This record gives sequence, C-alpha cells and structure tokens, in this order.
Amino acid sequence: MSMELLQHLSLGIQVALTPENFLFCLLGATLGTVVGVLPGLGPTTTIAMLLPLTFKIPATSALIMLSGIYYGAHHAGSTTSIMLNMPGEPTSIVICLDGYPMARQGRAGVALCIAALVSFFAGCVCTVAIALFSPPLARVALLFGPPEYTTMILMALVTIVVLSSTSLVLTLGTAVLGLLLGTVGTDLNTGIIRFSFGSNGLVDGVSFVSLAVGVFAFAEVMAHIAAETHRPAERPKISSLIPTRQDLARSWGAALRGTAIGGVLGLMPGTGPLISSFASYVVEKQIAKDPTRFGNGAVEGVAGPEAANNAAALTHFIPMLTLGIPAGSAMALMLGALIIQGITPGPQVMTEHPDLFWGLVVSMWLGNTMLLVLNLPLVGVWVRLLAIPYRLLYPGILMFCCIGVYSLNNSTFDVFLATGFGVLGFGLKKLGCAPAPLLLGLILGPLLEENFRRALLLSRGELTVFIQHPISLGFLIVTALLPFVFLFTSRQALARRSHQAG
Amino acid sequence: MTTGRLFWGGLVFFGVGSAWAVLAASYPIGTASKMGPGYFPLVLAVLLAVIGLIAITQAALTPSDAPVQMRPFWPCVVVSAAVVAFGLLLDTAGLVPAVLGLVVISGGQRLRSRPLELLIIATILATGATLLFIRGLQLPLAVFQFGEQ
Amino acid sequence: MTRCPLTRYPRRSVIAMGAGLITLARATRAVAQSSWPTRTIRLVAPFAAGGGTDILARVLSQQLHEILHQACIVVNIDGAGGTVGATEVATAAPDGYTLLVGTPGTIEVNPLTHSLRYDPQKDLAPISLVTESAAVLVANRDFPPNTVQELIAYARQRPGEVNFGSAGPGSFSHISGEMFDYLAHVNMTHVPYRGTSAALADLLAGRVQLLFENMPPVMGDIQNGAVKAIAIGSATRSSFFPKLSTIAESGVPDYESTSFMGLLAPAKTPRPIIDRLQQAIVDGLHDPETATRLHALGVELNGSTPEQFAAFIARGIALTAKVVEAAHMRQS
Repeated sequence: MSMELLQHLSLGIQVALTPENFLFCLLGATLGTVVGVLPGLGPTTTIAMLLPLTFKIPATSALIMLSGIYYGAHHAGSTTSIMLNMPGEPTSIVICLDGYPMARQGRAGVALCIAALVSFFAGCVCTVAIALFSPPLARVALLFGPPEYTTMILMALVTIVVLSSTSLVLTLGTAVLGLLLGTVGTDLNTGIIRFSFGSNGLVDGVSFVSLAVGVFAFAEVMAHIAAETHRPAERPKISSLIPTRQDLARSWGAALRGTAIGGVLGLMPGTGPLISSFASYVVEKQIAKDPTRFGNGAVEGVAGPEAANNAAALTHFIPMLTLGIPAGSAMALMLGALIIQGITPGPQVMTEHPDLFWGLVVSMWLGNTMLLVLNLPLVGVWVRLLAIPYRLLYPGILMFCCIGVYSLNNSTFDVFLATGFGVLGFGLKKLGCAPAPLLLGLILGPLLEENFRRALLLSRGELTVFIQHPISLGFLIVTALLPFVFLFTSRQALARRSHQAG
Repeated sequence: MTTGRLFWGGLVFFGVGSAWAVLAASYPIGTASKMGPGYFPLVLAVLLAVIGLIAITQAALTPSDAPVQMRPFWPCVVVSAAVVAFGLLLDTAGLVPAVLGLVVISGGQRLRSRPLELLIIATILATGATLLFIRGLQLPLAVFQFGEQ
Repeated sequence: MTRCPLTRYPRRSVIAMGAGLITLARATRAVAQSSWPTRTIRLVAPFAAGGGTDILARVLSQQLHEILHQACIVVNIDGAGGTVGATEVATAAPDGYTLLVGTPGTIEVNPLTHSLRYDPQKDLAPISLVTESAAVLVANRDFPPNTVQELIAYARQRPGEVNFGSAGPGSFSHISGEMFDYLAHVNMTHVPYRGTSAALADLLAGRVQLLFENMPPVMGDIQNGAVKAIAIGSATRSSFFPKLSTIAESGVPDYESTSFMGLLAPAKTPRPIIDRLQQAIVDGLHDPETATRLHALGVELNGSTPEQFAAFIARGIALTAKVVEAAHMRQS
C-alpha cells in the first residue's frame, strides 16, 4: 500500500461522503433494487430515462447514481429467481437452479440472506480490485478476440449438460433447441432475416425476457395452479430466515471462488457476467463432496454464482473507465453521461479526474453497504409475501411479468410470444426437462455463431486459428476433457452413495 | 417399448429438428470456412433431429420410461388466455382494463365462489400498476384509451 | 348528370363536400396552432435505449420539454433495424404528438434493405436536421498507412487483406466503409460486429485495422491517441479536428458520409405545428448549455428548415442506393 493510494482513497471518501453524493448513491441503489426485482424492466431502461436529469448535476454525482442503479439491479436480480423461479436478468438464471428449491423447502429467507451477504462480500473485494489494478486489468479485455470467445462459449455450452440432474439426452436436446431459437432474426454477417415467419417482432430475434418469463414464470404459475386444486394450500413452512452455521461454512469458500471467477470474467465485454455465474456453479458442483445435492437446494449453488455475478458487474466497469469501451448498453449510457459533461473516458480519467474515479470507487463500496442494509430487512418482507396464499399472489405475478415483457419494446408482440413460450415451458416441465439450458442456448447461440464466423472471416477461412491462439487452445483442451472428468466424478459419487446405502 | 418422457421428448426434438432443417436449407448454406446464413441453423437442426432419434432409441431400450402426465391441462389454457387478453386489452383499452381482464380470466374458476376477492385483487393491482409504472417509472402506457392509438 | 368516376356521388356535391372539408381542416388547423401542444409529445426512437443517437434524442427531448412547456418523452420502439418504430410514426395521427427520431439507417438504408410499409420521403414530413456528425476514418495505431493516398496504395497491393469493422450489416459504419471501397476502387474485407463498442475493441487490439464511424463513439479514443485518425468523411473539414483532411480532398472526390439525427412527423401534420417544432429546435440549439452538451458528444449542430432537411434526405438516399448496389454486386 503506497502513500499515494491512501491519498487517493481519502480523496474518494471526501467526494463520496458529501451529503448530496451520499443521497445520489442511496437513490441509485434503491432504484436499482426496484427495477432489479421487476422482471423485464432492466437497468438500461432506467438509466436511459434518468439520463436527462443528470445533465443538471455534477458528473461525479451522475455517475455515482447511474452506477448505483446498475449494480443495485444486479444485486436484486436473484430475488425473483429464488422466490418465483423467474430470472430477472440473464445472470440470475443459475440462481434458480438451487435458490428456488431452497425456497420450496422453506429456506427462501436463508437463500436471500446468503445472496445479500455474498453480494456484499464480492462487492467489497472487487471495489478494492478496481482501486488497485484497473489499468493492468483493462488489457485482459483486449486479449479476448473472436477465436477466444468462440471456444469459451463452446466450453460453456458443453458444461450446460453437466448442470442437468435429469436425462442427459433430453438436456442436450433442450440446449440445442435453445441454440436454434437463437438463430431466429437477422443474420449478423449478411443482414438476411432468418426464421421470422414474416413477423416484424422476430426480426431482431427472440428476446431473452420473453423466453424467461414464458418458460420460467408462466410455466411455474401453470404448474402451481394445477397443484393447488389437486391438494390445496400446502405452503412451505418458513423454517428460518437466518443462515445456520453450516450454511455459512459452505457459502464461505463458494463466495471466495465465485468472486475470483466473476472478477476475472467480468473484464470481458458482453459475455463475462453471464458466463461467470454459471462457471462458478460448475466449479462448486465439481468440487463438492456430494454433487447430487446440487439442484436440490445446495446453498453453495446460490452463494458461488451470486458472488460471481456481482463481482463481474463491478469489474465490468474497468474496460469502460480505462479504455472507454462500454461493456453493454447500460455502460454506454453512463459513458454518454460522462461525455455530455465534457469528460473524455480513457486511461487519463484516473489522472485528470481523480475525484471522479476515486469518488466512484468509494461510492461503489458505500453503495454495496447500503444494498446490504437495504436487502437484509427486505428478506423478511419477501418471505412474508411468499406466505400469502398463492391464489391471491399469482395474478400479481402474471401482471408484473406482462408489463415487464411489454416494456422491452413497448410492444404486445413480446407478450404474445411469452405466452407461446409459457406453453412450451409447460410441455418441457411435463417431459422433465429443466428450462435453464434452453435460455443459455438462446443467449449463447448467436454469440457462438457470430464469433465463430468472425474468427474465420479474420483468418480467411483457416480453421487452425482456434488452436493457434493459446487461450483458445486452452479452452478447447478443457472442453475436450470435461466429459471425462464429470463421468469420473459422478461414478465416484454414485459409488459412495451405494457404499453408504450398503 | 414404453411411450414416456424419453419417447415423447425425442419425438418432439426429432420433429422440430427436421422441420427447422427444411427451413434452414432454404437459406444460402455456404461452406465450413465461408458460412452462409443457413449453415449454422442447418447443422444445429440436424443435430437436434439426431438427438431426438437417440432419445427414441433409448426409450425403446429402457424398460421403464417415466410416463408423461399431461393432465390437468386447464391451467395452461387459463394462464395463456389471461395473458393474451392482457395484451389485446392493453393495445385497445389501456392498462386498467388489461389488468382487470388478466385478473378475471386467470381467476375465472373463482368468479362464482369468491367474486369479491377477485375484485379486490384487481383493484389493488390496477391502482398499484398505474402508480408504479405510469406515475413512477413513466412507462409510455395509457391508463384508459379508446381504440388503437 | 355527370358522375365523378371515383365515387357514386354527383360531382357538384363532391366539390361542396371537398370545400367543406377544407374549411373544417382550416378550423382544426387553427385550433391546433393555438393550443398545440396540450399533451405529452412522444419522440419515437426506432432503436434500443443506450446508443449514441439515443443520448442525442434525450438531450433534444429535454430541451423541447423546456421550450414547449409540455412533457416530451423518448419512446424506444426497437425492431427490424428501425422499421417498426418508423412505421409506427408514418401511420400515426398527424397531430404533432408522435414524432420520429430519424437516422441514416431508418431514412436512407432501410428502403434498400427492408420491405417497408412506408415511403420515407412521402409518408414522413421532415421537420429539421438537428445534428450531423461526419464519418471519421480511424485506424489501429500500428497500421502503416497514415493518409488516404497511402491507404489506397496499401489496400490495392493487398486485395481483401485489410479489414474494416462495422456495427453490423446496413449500419452507418458499414455503408461508410462500402462507400470507400466503391469510390476508391479498393477491395477490403468487411467484418461485422454487434454494435460499435465490440468493433472498437477489436480495432484497439489490432484484429481489424480500420473503422469508418461517426464522431461520437471514437472522439475520445482519437483525443487519447488510442486510435489514429486518418481522414474525415464530410464535404468540409470538421470543427473538432480542423487539421484532419477530408477523404474527398485526399483523392476520393465524391466521398461524403455524414450521420445525422433529425426530427420527422407523419406526412399530413399541419404546417404550423411543423414550423413551431422547427423553431423550438432552433431555439434549443441556441441554448448555450445544450450546445455545449451536444458539442461534447461530438456532433455538429444544424437546425435546418424542413425544405433543407428534405433536400438533404433526397441526396443521401441517392448516394446510399448507389453504394448498396455496388456492395451487392461485389458480394455476388
């Protein structure tokens, strides 16, 4: 720790703790929590709507508030995953896998608490990482080109199959179906519109939120109503809100690993946060003594990915602050807010506007603390919401989903599309297929295709490009080894279980 | 041979894969090193069809394929109808009628037994949605409107 | 009795009815003029929130809100490369409450690449060209050529080997690059990305060597020296980098590629409303704070009359049509 860093930090503290900046940080974090909980309505829309308001306030305050919305939304995205099996953002798909089973077992409060705690932990660690290592870390983002992205996504897709606790063939089929849905829309290379069936609403492809709301939320409501009439009013008993010592012991390591994974992968523009959350899940499942607990409410399955997701949300700021490359449209808007105020993003931001840079860093830490203070009491409210009889609750769930889907493009087409996906989700459920691979396929499919074709375009058709780049080669080797590793560990687990039984 | 989850799942994958392959073949295919827009979807669609065939074969070889229980089917119909009604009413009549429609249709089977309960839910949701989405978040939605805008 | 061929009414009553309608129209127009705007004005932005033009539209909406004393909101209607939003405005009631944020994509490119249900020149009434921003030709720092002439010589020796990135097929950066290929008689490889940021990242990393993009997303990187600016694509030099020569003066005389953001209304919108909006835009651009904000974003202020904007659109459509045709021929 150098003297200089301490000076910087004390400057940051002075900036972030002025009453108005404190309030802007609180406002941003609160708004972020609200839009993060509402399905469909994301941080991008909110930041866009608030942008004109930031013209009249200093650049630092504006950035503090807008970034608060961004990481606040990431923080809150897991809430609906845990409570309703409905991922509010792509990054929280993975949280459904064990968070929702925990809620069904009456441990929603524990899952939410753990989520809040590990988010805070990841937030603190990554704020320090931004403060210490921004410039060198920024270069990592540039190491990833089309071949690296292609093989990384391929690796991610192969691991999807491992996430499944049901039939291997059916999971594989669901993932490929998701990839096919991803091919709907305008082909990036030629501009040719594929599989749109003449509908304008499909020209830009199937939106993630429509599919997620359909196969997760609508299908869940359908299953629930059916169950209610079958044997009415069996609500999970809420055992406890506070995590047990065992929960904390299990989450601790998962949060550490998740933070590391998310912190590094967050540097990749675009795909980083999504891949990080389920890379963390795979790691946790892989090193667990008993992998069969996963998918049935394993607390590590919430702690790891949630930490990874939030770590990535914060390190995502590094390419924007130091290279001026926004990692997504929400980041692009924040960049716009800075430019409008006459601040040129780039490596010189740290030296020319130290108050802005260090004020933001300190405010991120402050904001994460606020989110913890905000979210922990909310856990009680959420859990009490779950105690409301389902027949009173589900019209509200449906309404929030519908408005959320509508607000994507201000068009009812997406609402109708989500209805269709609801029927699809209902069918998949009957076949015993988990919907998560479908969603991951939808998101990763277009990325895989476009990066693969771009890599070949840049290499003039040479397929060897994927083994010439060392990082890409590394991913390929891991991808090839994965099936064997998983086969081996699942045999072991099986053997151990039969040993215990016998 | 049992006709359970594997069999039906396989059949669906095979059907969707084949149909998608036919559609994909209508776009320029290109070669592996210079792909056309049809290449990637075609490969995936064939893969899906093959996965479907494997599932059907597995089903044929497995003595106990878990059965598919489609009933009760009505929740699927009720929820779909409610959401479609919401979409149609939102475009033609505004947010409040859309929320009313959604609540009434999705809770249709309780319309006789508990009409008051439905009315209260609808009122709370319609008020809440207006305040949160139109007043608070400024979404471009009409509270009430007549005909398409 | 002679009958009007189009209707089953006697001609005289048709004339009378027509006269009546005109009077009615005048009356409503007078009403519209005096009372407009009485409710929220919607600026339909036919793209997703978060892009460069989206930010411009939000600056404009804020300004119109202050000048017209009426809420003015940006509504993003994304879809089909902007055709969904543009169709919505083209078919909306011509009452001055639904306006289109027009960009080169929706006005000039889409008629060539999409089957549209509207004619951008017939179904939309130009109000004003608000801002312009020329294409800048930027290169990776380590790319050998420093001038347009050097680039042309370099690219002619290596046909197909120089890559230029773009924000996707049909995007402004794509059309600007293809225009260079067509007019400078070179053959470079187009590498499409999903959005400018992704293309910019690969430009910084040297995977693509060139990018033709309008000023806002690349201005910071030029100032930092992260990328090298070779030339500017407007007819005259840019006020931002006056030392930067234009592509036209460096040996490609007809090259002109300028992105823009303009406001358009449904075709039958009453002229007084259009004039009022145009005046509000001009007033807004004269506001020093707004001017500073827009300037910081890297755009030049314009504030043209509706007629000037119409002529600008006509020129743009003609040139884009030639470039797209040439690009198609090159591909096949």
